[in-house]
Amino acid sequence: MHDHGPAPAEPGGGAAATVTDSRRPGPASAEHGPIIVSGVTKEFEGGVVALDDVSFAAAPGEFVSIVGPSGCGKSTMLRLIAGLIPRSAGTIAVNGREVTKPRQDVALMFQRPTLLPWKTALQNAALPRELQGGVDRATEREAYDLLNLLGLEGFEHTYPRHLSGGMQQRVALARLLMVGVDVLLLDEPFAAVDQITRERLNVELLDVYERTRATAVLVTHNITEAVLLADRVIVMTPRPGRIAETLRVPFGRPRAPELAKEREFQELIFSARERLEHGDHGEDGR
Amino acid sequence: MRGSRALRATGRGLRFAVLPPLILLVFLIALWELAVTQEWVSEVTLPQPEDVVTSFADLVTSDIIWNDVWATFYETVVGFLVGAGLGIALAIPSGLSNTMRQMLRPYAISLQVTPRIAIAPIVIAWFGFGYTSKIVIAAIIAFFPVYVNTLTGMITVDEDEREMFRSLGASRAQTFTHLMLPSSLPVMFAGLKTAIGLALIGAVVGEFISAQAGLGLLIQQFSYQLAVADAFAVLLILTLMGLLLYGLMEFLERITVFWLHDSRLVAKSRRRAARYGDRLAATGGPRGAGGKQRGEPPALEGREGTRVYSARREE
Repeated sequence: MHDHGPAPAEPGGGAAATVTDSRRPGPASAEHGPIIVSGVTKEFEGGVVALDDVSFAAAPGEFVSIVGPSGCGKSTMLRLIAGLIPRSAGTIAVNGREVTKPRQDVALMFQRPTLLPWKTALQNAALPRELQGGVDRATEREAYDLLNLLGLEGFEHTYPRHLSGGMQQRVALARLLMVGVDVLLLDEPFAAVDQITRERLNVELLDVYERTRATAVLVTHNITEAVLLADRVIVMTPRPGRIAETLRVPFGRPRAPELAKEREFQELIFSARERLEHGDHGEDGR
Repeated sequence: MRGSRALRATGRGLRFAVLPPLILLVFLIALWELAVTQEWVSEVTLPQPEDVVTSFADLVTSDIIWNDVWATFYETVVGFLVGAGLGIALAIPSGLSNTMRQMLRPYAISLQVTPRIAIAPIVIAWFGFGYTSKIVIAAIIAFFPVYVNTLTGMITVDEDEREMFRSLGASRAQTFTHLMLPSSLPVMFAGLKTAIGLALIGAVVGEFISAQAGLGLLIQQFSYQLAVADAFAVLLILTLMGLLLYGLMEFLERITVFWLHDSRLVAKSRRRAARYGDRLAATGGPRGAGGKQRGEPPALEGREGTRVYSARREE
């Protein structure tokens, strides 16, 4: 599927090489990155059932959004996939391997930028590589180019304290991409920034995804965001978290934010909202 | 140009920081002068300000005082280093291991609630009249704030940041060196600043009890002789010593915990940018020494970026 995506010619490289090929060398490359979640239940200590028998799958290179009101366990779902917390029942496999602990082939982005205040934007972006055994000049250059790509030109050596919330989240996005993996897990990544910045960051995320074609799972309570970015939208209901419906997003790629103005898009959002409000009895009205 | 602006800003800060306390000082000295000349207080109890100044000048120009200044300074600094070193050395395992923390907890609290000065006579009995006993007393009372603050800093590391490190597959050692230790530095320094003052107290109290040299001994002797002006002059020396030590800690804090100080951050950013630019120039990077040339088409940069960050890293 992703072979039909945009195929920018590599500067100076083989003209026929697609983005997909360049990031996944080798014949078996297309098999990287599927996520299979089956029958997953998560009960927290104290008896709160956050997720109840949830199953879904994401194909390699697919972008799946999970929407739902607060308390539907969508963030918990991501943490389970990331291996940060243990599940109560069911199985989760990423890249064909069962998830038992945090893994190096999965990258997670948080609601807050969680940048280290004593490191520059560049150093923060390069952190994953630093933890994997040191930053060489090439890595530094990679991080530098990524920050430029994300609109942080001129701020590479600035410390987080002197960056705006949106800029900090861009650095966090650069750090996520520096992990260099096939599976991106995004936990309401732009929830903490203002609406306009958020829309702009979504466009950048869209751009980044369409270039890399990693398998991505985005958790959000913003339906427009979910539909704009994803190939499939999973609508969840709260307490306990269950999948209410899965909506296929029929639009091709690359996508532009103007897509949101189209009628078909609006209808899709409408039906997702409908579904959300139907299963919304458990919302505590906060 | 930037330098001069920074200088002017510092000048403004200095004026703001120095002027109001100076006004208060003039007022207090005038009041003091008045209290003595109007005989609200007897001159035997409270000497005139100029007597204190004369005594101070006589003391610092005499040769004998410097031996005492050195003794107190030495005891304080070494005591502080020992106490703070132990505090940090015990706080780190306590921060990393719950068992260790629980094990030390009752003792740490007991040490905190005990008036630690009360141990001074015993320490003198053990270690004698020399420097060692004062160093031990200073170390004992300087230990606690460093231990508690370092521990607090280590166990209050942001939970999201911890989770981020876990998701990146960081080892325990890496989480410690890259996250917990730097995160705890600001709080640790608050403890160190308290501890340096406490170490000075410890040294002086030790000297009160029994000593062969030191400002504490001197102040005691002057008081016995009712040389109140001289005693005040020694007190002034102790204050100056305390300020010097505190200032030194502040200076170290500004260097170590640079990310809490805007001016330091700006300077460091600029230095890093320059160094990175040099490195690019040295490796013949296409962007050149500036590091930020605007002429390049963004589209190309983007594509290049894609290639770079999408290169799959084999495990």
